[in-house]
Amino acid sequence: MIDVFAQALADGVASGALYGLIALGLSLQFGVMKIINFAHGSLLMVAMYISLWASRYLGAHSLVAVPLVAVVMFVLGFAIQRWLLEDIYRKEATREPMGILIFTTGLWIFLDNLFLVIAGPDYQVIKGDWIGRTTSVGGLMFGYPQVAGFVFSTLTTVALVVFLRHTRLGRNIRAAGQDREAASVLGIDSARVYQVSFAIGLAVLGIAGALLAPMYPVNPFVGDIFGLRAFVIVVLGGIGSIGGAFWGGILVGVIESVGAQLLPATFSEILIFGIFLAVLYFRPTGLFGLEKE
Amino acid sequence: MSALLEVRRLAKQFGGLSAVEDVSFAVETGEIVGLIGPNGAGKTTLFEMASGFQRPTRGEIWFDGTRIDRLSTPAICARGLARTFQIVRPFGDMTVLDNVIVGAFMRAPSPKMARAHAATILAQVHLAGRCDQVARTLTLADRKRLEMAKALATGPKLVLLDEVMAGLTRVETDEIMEIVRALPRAGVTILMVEHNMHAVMGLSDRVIVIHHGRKIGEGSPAQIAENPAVVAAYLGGRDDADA
Amino acid sequence: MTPLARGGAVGAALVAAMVVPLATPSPYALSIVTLTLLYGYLALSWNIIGGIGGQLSLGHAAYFGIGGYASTLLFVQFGVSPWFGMFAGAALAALAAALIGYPCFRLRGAYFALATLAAAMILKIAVENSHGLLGGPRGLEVTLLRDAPLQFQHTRKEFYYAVVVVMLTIALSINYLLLRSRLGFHLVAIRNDQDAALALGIDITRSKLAAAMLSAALTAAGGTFYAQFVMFISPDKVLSANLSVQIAVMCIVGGRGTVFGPLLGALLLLPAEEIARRALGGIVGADMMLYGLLLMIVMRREPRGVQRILRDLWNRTGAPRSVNAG
Repeated sequence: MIDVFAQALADGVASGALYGLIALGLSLQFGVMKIINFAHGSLLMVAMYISLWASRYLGAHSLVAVPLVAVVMFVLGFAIQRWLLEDIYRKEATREPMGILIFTTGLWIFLDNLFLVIAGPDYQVIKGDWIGRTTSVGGLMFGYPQVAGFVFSTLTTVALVVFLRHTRLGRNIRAAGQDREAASVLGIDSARVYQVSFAIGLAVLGIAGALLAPMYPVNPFVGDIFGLRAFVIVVLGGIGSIGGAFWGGILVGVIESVGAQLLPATFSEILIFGIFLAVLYFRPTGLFGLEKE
Repeated sequence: MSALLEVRRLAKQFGGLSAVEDVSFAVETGEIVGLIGPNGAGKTTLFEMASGFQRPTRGEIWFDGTRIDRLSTPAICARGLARTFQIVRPFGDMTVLDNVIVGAFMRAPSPKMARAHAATILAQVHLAGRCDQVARTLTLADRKRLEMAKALATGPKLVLLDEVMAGLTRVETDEIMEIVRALPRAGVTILMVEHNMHAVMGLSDRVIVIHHGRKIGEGSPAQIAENPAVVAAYLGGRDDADA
Repeated sequence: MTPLARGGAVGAALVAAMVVPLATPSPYALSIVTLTLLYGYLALSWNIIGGIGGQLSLGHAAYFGIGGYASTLLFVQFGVSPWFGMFAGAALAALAAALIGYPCFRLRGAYFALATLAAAMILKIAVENSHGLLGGPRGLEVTLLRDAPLQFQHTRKEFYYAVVVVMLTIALSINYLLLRSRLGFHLVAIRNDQDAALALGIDITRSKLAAAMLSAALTAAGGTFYAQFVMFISPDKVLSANLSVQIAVMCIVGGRGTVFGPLLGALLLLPAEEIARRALGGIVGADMMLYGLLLMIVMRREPRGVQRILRDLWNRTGAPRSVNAG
């Protein structure tokens, strides 16, 4: 019994790191632009399909597909911010960006159903020898994709933190997030910074999607549940906080995984959303208190 | 305690930084009081605290016999203390009249009376001709008037005016000065932050000077103009030494 | 014309327009018209919080479902007439809206959108996993009594049509009156600038809460109507996220925050959806794709919706300028 729980805990941590990575892009976009991108889950679904197709039609190993998907998503993110969101965002700079919220809701509905039309409703899986393999660490069993997911998620998170803290572009992004006017006084082209931040957000999401695809069957609505979970994580971790997203991801992963041992599977969703609502009630700035009110 | 507004040893810190430090002053009913000081002196922070948008770190604010520094913004407004914003905040989608009606609902029991009251206020700030214009399309001068009209419509005893003349031409400034000058007779006391010295000196019964979050002078406009500490602060001298 | 006379004229025209469908010989066509008007009613209900109040709710299916399940359960289990059940459902939905809205309204608007989305999802999962009482994924059937108007059912479609017209008229009137009331002014002010509204003494949380509760109660009444009209409810019909989205999209596309915009949105979108469905030969997903696309186009082209486009056209063609038709 102890073993079952130890395994569940370890599984939770492993998938949690990946959940955190999914939430990371959302948190970054919010932190810099104060916008909520409701199409986030759908864009994850798009990344998973790209990964699926890369493996199926190009024969790419699904780990080789990771950088490929990241690049495609980066370009997509740049284009979305530049040609779809920018005008709406500019008009709403002084108030709550409700227009972005509604627009990205439209994008979400559109993308989900577009993929329903072009890819069909069926669940599809990536095939590959390594996907079924397992390794054992200290008596606990891990699938190869699970290990890859944990390792690369953690590395990507660390890389993003380093990038934001120690590069010129990263510092510009953070400056623009803190004070738009001050940033423009410092000669930072905020429009360009937003394009790049949105694009980085999606590139990170692309990595997450490509890591998730070997573990989880893909269908047009797969993003909805992960997207909602990402929002829950962002709220748990403190909206806009990168480190918070990581720990929030681990927490949700563990709750889900351990919860599944105790409760019927559907109830773990209820549990997560219940926690989400509870956090909104009692700790709206996040569990980890990394963001000030 | 007869003062309408009394600020007692007020302090506000952000993180480790002091924005306001140990400031005390009073405003009597019927006065026009000017609050001046260089940028970043803490004037707007004082307004934010008096209107309930921020909580003081230390000290007390009393208004009309009640302590208000722990009250919410709407509760303070209901007691008769209204404010304007330095960067004007019209309700852009609404017409000018509707903007003011929002404020008028503070005291008016019915939509009809709110409308009538709003119309009166608009006449008072010389905006009656623009009633049906959408607020977003107003010129800066008219936005400033609208900003005042919204605050006045809530039926305040005291209005905090935050730079309602900034960015205006001389003629526009003079018009606003006329409006402000008439307010005490209508039962509205004024505390105003203003950079326009011509306006402050011309309007105020009394001027309070804040610098680096501290009060460094108080008196009639004439006294203030001759106060060496004030002159030093404004000439950007070695004010840090005596702060 | 004074606004009142204009309102009256538009009202009379609407009433006239509503008599026409009764002349149609086909019960099927009348059903489509009835459903379209029901969606108009729902969009108008959503408009109170989402349009006038500017708070994006993505969980209105929850209130719709609460209304449907409450009246049906009371009727099936205890024999309470759905006319009374309608009020019970409305009260329950208002309570739910308060519980969901209260923690969010102190925070940024996105939290409200998320919380409504999550709450509706929880409710759907919970109902799907209920077995005895709520019928689980298969849903509940309303006991058939045939012609029993006092029990909110009738074999003739005209009965439902008449009821939905009355409900629609009530929703239009509520929106009209709200926009002219103190609460309405407060909500529009909050939508425009929350801090400025605060400075004018508006209790933000209370205003939003009132709007959310009113909106939820009206939506729940629509749920009861739907249950009686179809005589059957199930989680995937009345609690689905698609329904929440459809309601919001109709209101936004038509013109959020206005009186006639939401109805216009329903009158445009439901037939458009029907046509698209036929033209595309029943490709699954095409209808919702259309909703998503329209939402994006409207937000980029004219965020104030089709109502605004029509009004601008009207003004440009030299017709008398109307003031504040909103």
